[in-house]
Amino acid sequence: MSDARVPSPDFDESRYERPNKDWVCGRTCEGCPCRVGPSPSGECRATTECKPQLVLKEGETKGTWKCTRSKDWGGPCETGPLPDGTCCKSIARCQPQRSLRSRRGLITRAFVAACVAGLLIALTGPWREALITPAPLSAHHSGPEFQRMAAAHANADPGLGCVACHAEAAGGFAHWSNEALKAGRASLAFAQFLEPHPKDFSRMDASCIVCHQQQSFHQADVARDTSCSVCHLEHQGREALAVVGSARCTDCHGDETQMADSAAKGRKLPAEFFLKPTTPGVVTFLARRPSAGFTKVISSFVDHHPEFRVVRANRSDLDTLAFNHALHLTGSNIPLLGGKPLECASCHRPDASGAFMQRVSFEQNCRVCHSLQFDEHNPDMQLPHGDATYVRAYLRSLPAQYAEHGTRRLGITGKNDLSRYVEEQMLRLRERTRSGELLEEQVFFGNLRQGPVPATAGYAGPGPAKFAGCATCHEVTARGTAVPLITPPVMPDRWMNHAKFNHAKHTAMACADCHAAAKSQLTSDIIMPSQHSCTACHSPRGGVSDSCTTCHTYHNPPPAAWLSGGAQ
Amino acid sequence: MSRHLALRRSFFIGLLLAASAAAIWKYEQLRPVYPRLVYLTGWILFALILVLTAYNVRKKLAFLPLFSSRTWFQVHVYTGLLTGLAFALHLRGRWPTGWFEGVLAGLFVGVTLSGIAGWWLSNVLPKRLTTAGGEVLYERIPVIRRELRLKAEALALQAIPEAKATTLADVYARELSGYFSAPYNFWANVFGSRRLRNFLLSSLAEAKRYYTAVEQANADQLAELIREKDAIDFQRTAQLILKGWLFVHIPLTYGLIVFSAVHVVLVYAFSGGAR
Repeated sequence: MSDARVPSPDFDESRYERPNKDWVCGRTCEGCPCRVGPSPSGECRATTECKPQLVLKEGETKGTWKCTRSKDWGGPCETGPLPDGTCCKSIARCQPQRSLRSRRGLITRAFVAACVAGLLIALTGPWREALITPAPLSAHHSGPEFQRMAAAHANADPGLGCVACHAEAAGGFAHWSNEALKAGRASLAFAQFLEPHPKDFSRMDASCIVCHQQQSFHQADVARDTSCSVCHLEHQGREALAVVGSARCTDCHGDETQMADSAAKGRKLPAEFFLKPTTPGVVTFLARRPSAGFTKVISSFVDHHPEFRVVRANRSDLDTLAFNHALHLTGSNIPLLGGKPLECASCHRPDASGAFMQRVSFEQNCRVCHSLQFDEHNPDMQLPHGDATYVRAYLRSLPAQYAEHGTRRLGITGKNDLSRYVEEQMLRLRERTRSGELLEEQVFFGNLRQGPVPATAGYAGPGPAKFAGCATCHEVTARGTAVPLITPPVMPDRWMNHAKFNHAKHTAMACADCHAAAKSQLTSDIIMPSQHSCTACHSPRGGVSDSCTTCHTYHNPPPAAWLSGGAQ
Repeated sequence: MSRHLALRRSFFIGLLLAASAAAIWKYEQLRPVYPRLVYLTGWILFALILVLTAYNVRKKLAFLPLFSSRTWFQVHVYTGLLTGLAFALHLRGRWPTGWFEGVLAGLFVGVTLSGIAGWWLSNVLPKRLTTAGGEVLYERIPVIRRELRLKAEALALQAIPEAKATTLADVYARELSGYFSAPYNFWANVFGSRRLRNFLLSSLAEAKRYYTAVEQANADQLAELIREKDAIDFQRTAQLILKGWLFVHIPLTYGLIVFSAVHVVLVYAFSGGAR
């Protein structure tokens, strides 16, 4: 930085500067601009150093020309004006220069013109779609297969771009402006910006529904449909389309007005409209919706989520199969299985995906302890399981069954030996059961609750459970002379049809953390976890995701009743 | 800085921080409830940009009694900073990856950064100019420079007939004539370097033992003129920078407005139910 003082210029104060002028004298940079300066349009106006003045004295007719040169030019010159009255000192003309301000304006205008030109080129050229796209499409909406499908739906050539979803993309910028004005008056009017539940199911969503049919259904009592893009923001990158936050759910479920409208609508709808379709072959526990529905305000899983439908008051498992979880897990007489006490995993094994448990079956899970052996002397002789008719047929053909057993299992080949073997077995059986009818009655209706181990159970004592009769586990109904009715047990594969769960993601926990099986003595006990057991982890405090979409899916399949015309 | 100015600046900064905190708090409150809040932040951002641009229009309409230029400048600066916040909220923490939106965002960042740079220069350079001394209109600098040149030439030539010596004139012709004839030392002045000035002074001093008495007196005056020329060059450099940053800020601003207008059209035309 300089330490010298800037010289104080000795300027004529009448000559103030005008920086706002567009042009300055071309000699300004030399430090000697002319006083006249350029014209507003940038032309040099220099002529002569002065305009001589005609001085007429009294009595003179011609007069004398007087120099009027200003102080800037050195004052009146010695030579004076020419006889014709013109100045003898002509000023050399210059090329006026633009002022700094004018140059800035010129650059600004040039830049704006370049922007406009660039935009015109960009928005009208063949690459305009690549230029205006805000971000890459998600993987789901990219690639040749999507292009092919979109083209097929739009009945257009493959390879079309934005127009596959944005119908308005077909036009030019003028058309876009027109569409923008329309949107500004309707769906994107200012009033819509502060609308908690803006809906526009007319334009963009129509393109979505072309491919995603029936994906617009959520619940039958939804008061107003939600635009796809409220939850699924496209143009967010390759992987971001399906990421939906809980805030999108609580937009409606956290809004009292919305929920009140939904409740009012739900009261008018038949209960069948709320039955979620089940997967064929999968037994689902039917927990009916409360009469008031689930239309209370829910802002978070921890604070407002209602108790799970399946464990709400007065719910019970209606299965007829008698089973005591507590006895099997904690009973002192329960034999070891593979050297270990029984545990949950002894019977409940995950399916291939690990998400759910395989269905418990007699053959795989019960028979190992509960064999259907009815003759203690022939442990290989077992009653068939699964159909009472077969059981009766088996019992009524016991001589033939013993003969078959003797031949195939015991290797008795001689006819006489076989006959003797059959007679011995039948005689021993009769001594114990007296008659075939009584044996049949004991097989079907016998159970462990009838006191001492019935005859069919054979010898008492430690070891695997002895067969005491079908009624030990099953509900058996006598039907006169007809085969007794054994009510088929129904064990649900899915208990919470409205939520999703994955056991594989919870392997760090013990079964008993959620299922109080060790305390359940009755079949009617529903030993599913309560909401409280989930919120221990699935909450802000627990640190595990508690978003709605962790368990729920928005896109529910429409119920059959709803599809069959009820939707109107 | 006077106490009044410091108080006023503190007040504006406090107001800006309070407004920013209130805006963020309100935005976070509204964001989960209103899915189309991004449109609102967009319009607010666009309105703020137009308000900021109005400052340039105001400068052209100096005759209008609409507050002082200083007040407008203060409002412009702090509104500009608030606009940066509106921009961040509008982007929702995601830098655009598309070409068009990338250019738009780049223009905004360019305008903001050039504005901040201009603000900083407007605070720093006037103080340096005051410290340097003098008050010269930028438009008069060439005239002063010419006067300095004429004086220097006169001093250099004056010694020839009086002292019958050409030493000083030779030094002037060799080392100083170019220095006095044109603006010099732009980058040295930008960085506050005195290297060239000191070189010239030392060149003048090196020939001291060859000067006659008259030349010696004139050399001393020439040294003073070198310092004055250096000061006027510094004035020119500083004032040019003060005016020059607007060559970036203003064109980018109008480019930003053009792109913003097209952005509004594109967003509205392609929205179709989208957020």
